[in-house]
Formats: sequence, C-alpha cells, structure tokens
Amino acid sequence: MKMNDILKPEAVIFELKAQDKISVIQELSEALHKINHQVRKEDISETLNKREELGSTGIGSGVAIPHGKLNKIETITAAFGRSSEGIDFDAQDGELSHLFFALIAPENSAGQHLKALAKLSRLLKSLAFREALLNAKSEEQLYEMIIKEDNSY
Amino acid sequence: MHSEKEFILKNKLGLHVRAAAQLVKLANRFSSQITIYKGNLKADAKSILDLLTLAAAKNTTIKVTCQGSDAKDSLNAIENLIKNEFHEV
Repeated sequence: MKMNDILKPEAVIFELKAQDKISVIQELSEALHKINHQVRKEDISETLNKREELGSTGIGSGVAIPHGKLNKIETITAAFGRSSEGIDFDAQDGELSHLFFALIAPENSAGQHLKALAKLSRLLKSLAFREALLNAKSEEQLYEMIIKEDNSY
Repeated sequence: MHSEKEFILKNKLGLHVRAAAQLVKLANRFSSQITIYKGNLKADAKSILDLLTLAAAKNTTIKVTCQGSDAKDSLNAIENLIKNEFHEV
C-alpha cells in the first residue's frame, strides 16, 4: 500500500478553515466526499463523529487521525488537512492538533485499516517531517512532501 | 528490574487506535520504560504513534518488556489490559 493509492491531491487542504472539532470533521468529510461521490458527506461526518465519541483520535504530537468504516466505500481513502493555529480536538496529550489525516475504509477491512494507520504513523512519527508539513507553502507542496516521504521508506 | 512476557492479541481489532490509546494511558502510570515488540519491530508503549506503526492485528504475538523500578507491576497491569481485550465491547 502506497500513500498515493489512498491520498489524492484533491483531498489535501492547505489551511483548514475550521476552528473546532465539529467543523474540522465537516471540512475533512467534504474532502473525502470529493473522491467518494457515492457517499454523502453527511454520512462520512456522522461516521467520523461516532468514532470520536468512543475517544478522541487526537493521538498527540499535534496529530489527529479521525477514521471510520463505511459500507459504500470500495478502498481505503484518506484526506489531509493542516491547521497552523491548531484546533482543540480533545487530544490525548491535551495539546492542540495541527495535522489531520482522515481515513475512511470499507467494512470488514480491519487488516488494511491497521496497515494504513501504520503507514501514516511511520511518516508522522518524525518530528522533522511534522515540522516540514507545517512549513509547507502550498497544497501541491504538501502533497509532494507526503508522497516523497512515503517513497523513501 | 526487568520483566518481560509474550502475549497473543485476542481482541477483534488488534492494536488499533483506541486500544493503543488505552495502553499508553496505562503505561504512563508507571515510571518503567515499556517496549512492545512485534517480530523485529519495536515501539514505545507510551506513544500512540509508535504503537500504531506495529500494525499488530488480531492473533499477533507481541512481547512486552518493562525496565525500571516498577517493571513487575507495569507488566502485570498490561497483562490485565491485554487479557481483558482492551475493554473492547
């Protein structure tokens, strides 16, 4: 699995408008809907919100990975959004979240889902890479950086 | 002090985000350095990002090692969490 299989340039948001948890989920759901027209964006946001109710996916280090499963999805799809200011996402370490990777996956894809999460985590573990994402100058640059970093593994 | 033990993950989703978050929360209650091994991969049990890199699915064998003054207690606590399948419903 490569990042360019799951993340498309259209689903990258250079600067999120959202300032709170509810609206950032909406913005990411819109991005995911762009590449999954068959699923209503309301259904995507509902799925992501339901998962958040079980515990925040703000996993610390300024990273959040809202995710969920939907039966109308054929393959795992990601969206990425960046917030320079940071958003209170109830992160486990109490810090604001800046980098949002949203993932939606088909039902019964636990194995693939874990692999996608592992791939994202491997990229985001690097402080230098997280800082580079925050310093990117455009959507195109963000996308290129993610794909290039992924290919270096 | 050093304690270690192997476990097989029996919960349906393996070491997914919620399970990893629970493990981190528990590990942070101890001063020991706690490391999770899956084959030749290893992860710091106090970092969700690190734990997720393992992609440890159901039925994966993991080894937990605890190093520090409360090694034994921390291993016992983690054993309980794994055996209780991370309190998954």
